[in-house]
Amino acid sequence: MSAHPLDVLSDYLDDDLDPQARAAVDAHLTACESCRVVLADLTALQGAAARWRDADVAPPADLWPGIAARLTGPRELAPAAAPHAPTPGPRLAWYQRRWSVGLPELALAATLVAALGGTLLWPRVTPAPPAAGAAAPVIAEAEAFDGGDGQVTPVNFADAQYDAAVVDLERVLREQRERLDPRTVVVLERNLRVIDDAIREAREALATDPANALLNAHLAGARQRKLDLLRRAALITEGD
Amino acid sequence: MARAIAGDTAAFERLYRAHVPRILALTRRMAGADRADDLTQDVFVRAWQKLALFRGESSLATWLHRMAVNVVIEQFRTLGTARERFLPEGDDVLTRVAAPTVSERGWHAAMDLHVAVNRLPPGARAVFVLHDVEGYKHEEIGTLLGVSVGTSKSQLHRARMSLRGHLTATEAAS
Repeated sequence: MSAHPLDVLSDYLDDDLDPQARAAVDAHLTACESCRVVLADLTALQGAAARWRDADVAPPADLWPGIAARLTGPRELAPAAAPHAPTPGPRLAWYQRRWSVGLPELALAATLVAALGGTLLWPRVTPAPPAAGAAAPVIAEAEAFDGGDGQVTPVNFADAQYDAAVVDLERVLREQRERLDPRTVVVLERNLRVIDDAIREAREALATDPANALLNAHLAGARQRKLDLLRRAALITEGD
Repeated sequence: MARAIAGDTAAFERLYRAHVPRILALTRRMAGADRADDLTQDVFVRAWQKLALFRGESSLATWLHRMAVNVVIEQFRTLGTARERFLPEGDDVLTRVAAPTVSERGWHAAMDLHVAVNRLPPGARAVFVLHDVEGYKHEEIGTLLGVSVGTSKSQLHRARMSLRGHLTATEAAS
């Protein structure tokens, strides 16, 4: 009898042997009881593994609170609508291309922010109470942040509050502009233009398709990015 | 889905509750019960961050499944050296030809298999679970784990033989 073909029994089981090798294993199995036993065990193991997949497990404890507490970070936006169009064409609208304000230059500002720690400058904005029966604002996403007193305050990005926060931050930047490195100013202004373009285009698109969830998500993301960038810039001026 | 993409956490919680049993089962199979809860949380946090990228080309369940596999693999890559992750070449599990067989009855017990899989090194475990349980091809596994197709095949065989050895011992002792 030939040597036990144990090294190839898995390939045999998975029908992953060429015909000649498979015939050799077949011949061996005909004469070798112990190899037939191994093959039978591996077959049974394969069956047990396949059944294991169908055994769902209910969570022993609710994992949701731990997840919900971590849903405050940035979210990715939808990629290009036409990713298989390699030839150059007319300039795509923002929602047709992979949108990113993460231009290489932004690394400069981001590095500065990271070096200064996680405390964010944030002008307190008191949200106006929603009118009774009013529809939910287009931007319903809220962000929790520590305002410095240890109290986590949700901020709604309804238009009025958002605009007020932007105006405040832009004023801070104007007043503190000379404290920023000129290279940083160039990066900030370039990226703010990109974001403003995205916001403008999103608003224009939403004017004709106000219920489009994707467009709403893009607008929310663009506005959030503008706020983040302004806050970071303001933080840099504070840290200098 | 649209509401969750737009930032509605209540809508996302409904997605979580619909899909968490299968994702938790997967992370338990791939990484063990002690790490499964944390990994499952990581999966859903990542899903929240990337939900806008879901384009409906597969089912949400499939999308989440892929994401969970990637999360577990990323964690696996942070573990030790390749020697610690995989079953060593030349392990004697391949030479136990004459060991008594394990009955089909014994292997019906999922818990036995779960315990036996827990005893595999993480790399060999990942190969076994991805191939024999989740139905991945060796080419896909090689890409996910950063190993060759040959290594994936070899580790699968060693994992199967090692599991056979564990289950044989369990059956003989009972």
